[in-house]
Amino acid sequence: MTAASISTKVMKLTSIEGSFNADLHDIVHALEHKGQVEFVHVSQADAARKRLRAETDKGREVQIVLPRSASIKDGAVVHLSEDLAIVLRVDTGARMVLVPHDIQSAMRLGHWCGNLHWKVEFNAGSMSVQLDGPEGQYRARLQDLESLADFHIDESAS
Amino acid sequence: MTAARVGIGGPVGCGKTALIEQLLPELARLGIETAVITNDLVTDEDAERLRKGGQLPANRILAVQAGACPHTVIREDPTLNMAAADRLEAEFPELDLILIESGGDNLASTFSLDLVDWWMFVIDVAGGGDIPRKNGPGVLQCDLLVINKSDIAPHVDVDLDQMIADAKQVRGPKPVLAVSCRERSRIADIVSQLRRDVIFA
Repeated sequence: MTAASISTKVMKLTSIEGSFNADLHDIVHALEHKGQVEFVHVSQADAARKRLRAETDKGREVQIVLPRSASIKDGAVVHLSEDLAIVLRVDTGARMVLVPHDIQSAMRLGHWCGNLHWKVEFNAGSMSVQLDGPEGQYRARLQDLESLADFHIDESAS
Repeated sequence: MTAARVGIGGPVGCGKTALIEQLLPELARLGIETAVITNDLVTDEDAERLRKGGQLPANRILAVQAGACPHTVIREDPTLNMAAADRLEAEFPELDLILIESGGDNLASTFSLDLVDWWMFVIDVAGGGDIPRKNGPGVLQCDLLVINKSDIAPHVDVDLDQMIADAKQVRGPKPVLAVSCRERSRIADIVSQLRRDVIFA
């Protein structure tokens, strides 16, 4: 069971017990049938935090204080008792997929995004940018690059 | 439970160290055990200033020298600061809070969440009333925006109310506080925010 200190108002959650998406699925699913599961929605950006004040979908205030070695993943179970599970749901968040048309443009694009400190994932032939703010701000920065690199935004993937 | 790690960033001269000097007595009054890590370019200037102030034992103040652009050691590769925080936690297990002051940098400076749990960005009225409208990542992304030197706004031709309104407009629901370290105003409000959002004590 989780090392949580429970008060009438706020629960302090200090460990990850397992994952609703893996080892604890059946146990949490059984509680879900009884309405005894609460979810905390965490943005992609906040998932990097080790401490977080949040509210469950049922209005319970929680203080999440994880060890420095822990990392928040979608489905993380931060409280598990006989009558309650609390599960973190990490929003995948908005993304923009950039497709360079040749190697030189790919290098320009990667260098440009690096200079802007954007968080990216590299995929086969494309680069997926995590949008931490309004999409328009990201598109505005890319306009400056259009004369230097040949690329397009994959609108179907955004 | 480990100590909360809180970043304090902002441009040169905005009053980051002055803010820490005002926060420390208020934190001490509330029994919050605190240590500080300062980041300077190639000196220990800020750490020495805090040690001379005597508000904390000298060995609870560590200095990290960035050697280059200060944002590199709080964002791109915060290893030095993480090691310093780990060292403070090991030596002082009673710590509730470690403040990590960034070296002075521009409005693009942000903290890695691998290093800190929560961070504030400090600007000041003397830097110009238009700073919030420039949409710098530091101003936009921090958990708390502090506008320092509110007391001198009339003397530098800054409309403080407009500056605060501009800041709130670009930050949406995220908080903005105008303070004066010199007059010690609103310092308790920052500590309240820290306790509620990240210290949990």
